[in-house]
Amino acid sequence: MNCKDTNKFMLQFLDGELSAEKTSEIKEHLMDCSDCSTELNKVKQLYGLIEEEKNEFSHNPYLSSKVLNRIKDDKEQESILLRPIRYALIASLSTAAVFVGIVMGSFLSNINSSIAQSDSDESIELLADEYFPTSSNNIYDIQIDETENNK
Amino acid sequence: MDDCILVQKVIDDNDHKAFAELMEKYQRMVVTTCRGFVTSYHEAEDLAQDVFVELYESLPGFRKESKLSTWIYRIAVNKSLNHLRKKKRETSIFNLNLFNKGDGKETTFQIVSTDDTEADYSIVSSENKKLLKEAINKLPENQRVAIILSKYQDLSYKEIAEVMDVSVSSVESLLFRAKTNLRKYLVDYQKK
Repeated sequence: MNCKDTNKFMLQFLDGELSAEKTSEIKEHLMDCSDCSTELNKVKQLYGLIEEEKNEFSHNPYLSSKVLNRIKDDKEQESILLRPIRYALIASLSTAAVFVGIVMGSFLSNINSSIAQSDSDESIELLADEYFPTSSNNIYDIQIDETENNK
Repeated sequence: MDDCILVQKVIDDNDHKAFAELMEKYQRMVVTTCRGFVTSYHEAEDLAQDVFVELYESLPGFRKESKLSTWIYRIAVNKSLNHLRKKKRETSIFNLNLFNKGDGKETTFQIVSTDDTEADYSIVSSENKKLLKEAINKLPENQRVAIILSKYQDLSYKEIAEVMDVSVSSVESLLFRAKTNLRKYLVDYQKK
């Protein structure tokens, strides 16, 4: 094992992840190489702080209540923010409804008036037919003529 | 109570008691994971609150195919990375402002001696922790996440792979590279 390989596997060596063979090779090299040995001790001191940080944890009994308060506040904030949007939405929807009502109303009244117009035209035609019947277009007249011929 | 029952209670009944129970159960896991990313314990606790708020909001989207802990780890990792990115942006703006004032402070590695008093040890240790964190945060994000989940949470390769949504062999390679790079950065900091 040389310095390069020792450096390469230094953290794995510290974590005890290497095979027994490789571990003993590094140990042998460290006994002979003071530079690598010094470097290992320095790295070990910094790298070992991870364990220290892991053990810093202390249970906070107030953390969950803090989070729940934040959730409540967020919801209230959201409803405050949404309120003007909701009012605007209601106002615009009612305006739209009124507009649609007006348009529909005028459309229906147009249809009604056109139906009424066509009805009055038809009644005029009917009256005209009653007063001035055209013999050529009357099927009953033709039938009468045929019976008269048979006689 | 089982995680699934608690989650269902939160989703269906907006049960805050059930959510508080989940928070109690996962507090250590979340705070310690966040601690791997940030420089102070206080910062990690603040981040943990953000993680739980996000968890509460995202629970309706939680698919019970994966474990709740995996889901929480993902939120904790993403929150921590976003927090660091935001902090980095703010720091670079701040540094730009200080660019002409020459107010940059540099931390150097100090060896803790057994002769040091407790106060000395605490100062030196906190300075060294800062260096360690700088070295960890210098790693590419995926290597950083892998090493934090491995070292701060003692997760197996398989568990890390599930959280990171990568293969087990990718985790192996990420951890190998992370450790090689981290050693290099730690040595570099000592030489400063």
